[in-house]
Amino acid sequence: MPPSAEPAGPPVTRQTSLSARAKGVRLMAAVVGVALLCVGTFWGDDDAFPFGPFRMYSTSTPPNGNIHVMALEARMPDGSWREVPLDAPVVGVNRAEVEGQVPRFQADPALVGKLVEAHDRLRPAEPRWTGARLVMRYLKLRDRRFVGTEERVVAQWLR
Amino acid sequence: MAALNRWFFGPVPLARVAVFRIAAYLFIPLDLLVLRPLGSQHASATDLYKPLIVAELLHLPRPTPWLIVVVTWTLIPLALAAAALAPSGRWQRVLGTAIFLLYFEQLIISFSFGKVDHDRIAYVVALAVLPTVAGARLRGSGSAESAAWALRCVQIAVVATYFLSAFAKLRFGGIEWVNSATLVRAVMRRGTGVGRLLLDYPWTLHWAQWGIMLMELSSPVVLVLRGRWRYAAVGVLTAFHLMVYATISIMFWPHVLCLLFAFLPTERLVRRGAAGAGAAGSTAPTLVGGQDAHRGAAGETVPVVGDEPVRPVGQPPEGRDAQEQPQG
Repeated sequence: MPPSAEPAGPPVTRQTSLSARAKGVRLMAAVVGVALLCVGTFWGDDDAFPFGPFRMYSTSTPPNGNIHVMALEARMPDGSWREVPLDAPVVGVNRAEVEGQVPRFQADPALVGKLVEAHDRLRPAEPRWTGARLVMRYLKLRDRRFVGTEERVVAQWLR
Repeated sequence: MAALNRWFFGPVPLARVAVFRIAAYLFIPLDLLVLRPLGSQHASATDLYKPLIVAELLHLPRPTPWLIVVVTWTLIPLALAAAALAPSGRWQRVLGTAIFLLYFEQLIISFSFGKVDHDRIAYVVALAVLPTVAGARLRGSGSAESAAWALRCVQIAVVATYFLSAFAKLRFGGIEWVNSATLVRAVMRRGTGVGRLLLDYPWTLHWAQWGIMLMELSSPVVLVLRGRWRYAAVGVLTAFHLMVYATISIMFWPHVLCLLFAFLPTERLVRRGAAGAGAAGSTAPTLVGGQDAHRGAAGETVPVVGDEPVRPVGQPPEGRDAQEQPQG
């Protein structure tokens, strides 16, 4: 009978089993992974990746509180200040990353200069900035509705 | 113990792993070049490096522009090769292990600049466990306990991303998180046009927070759902991610990939038309991890409405699981 002919019985399904030891190792790996994730969730922070807490948008913003948004302003060659995108394609890091390092920028404003240097490298065709400052904007809420903005300079660096 | 054994190791089709590998490895160039090309951008700002604990524990080198370029451009060809070879199952353990290690290093670097994304855990787990499955071929008809464990691990990681994030909210935001203005903040920070429309109706965002908390706390149910209920749950979760994307332009791309490919019987995509002639009549292939999805209380096979594979009449399913055979 040629191989393409109809087989007489149901199709044979190959099933691969694991040894008891292989199962034990796999089970243990899963248990350890889950346990570390749980520990990270309750006691760790983002720097514990891959076992840190899943804390995206986990903080509470009071309905009558402020929303913090970091902005970057750059000094142009003519001396004027202009808001520029705080985004990785422009300055090498994005807004959330800068917000995650606010105390570092406050302690060492020269780090703002690293954003300017990153802009020099990433956008060589654009005018070179002669300085930059990180501005924290406080968007004020009343009963969950936006009512106004306040600003504060976090760190400034001039070339 | 027997139930745990069956839940974790009840064999699933190896072809499902092959499909998952193709998707997972093709995602890498897409991720590194289009969705999140942060690595190459970080190379211009290495002074802002702030190492993770794991980088210090493993004594990983401080990233330099050169290191970032080498990791990125080693990963991409390896991932393309692994995706190309995945249908045949060849070189998957070696390539997969190398890809896992390099991608992990790439993420460690990428997350060492002050911001960690939370959509990668299931994907990292997938990259870690996919190489542990031997003999997975796209057109193969076999099933394996190793495949079941690998997919279960990814499923657990997907569910943990929801479930544990509820506890992170309680820890960092407190119980008042559900009544806070956190989603107003999300929309004001990065809302789309659609999202900003909701700012005029803040009660929608308020109630959405209750919905999110309930969804996250109840997410483990997905691990034991069967048949069309599981499809519905995957559909609801996918719709949730699409809604988040439409309103605040955040998309958990690798997480959604894992949600779809670890929970759905994707081998049906390649079995259509591939099954040869054979004996007719049998049960449908199993759901992912729901190895005993169609079995009744007494162990007999029972059909699940809406769970039938699409195939010509009289054409048998290829490689259905051994556990799907009538037991008694």
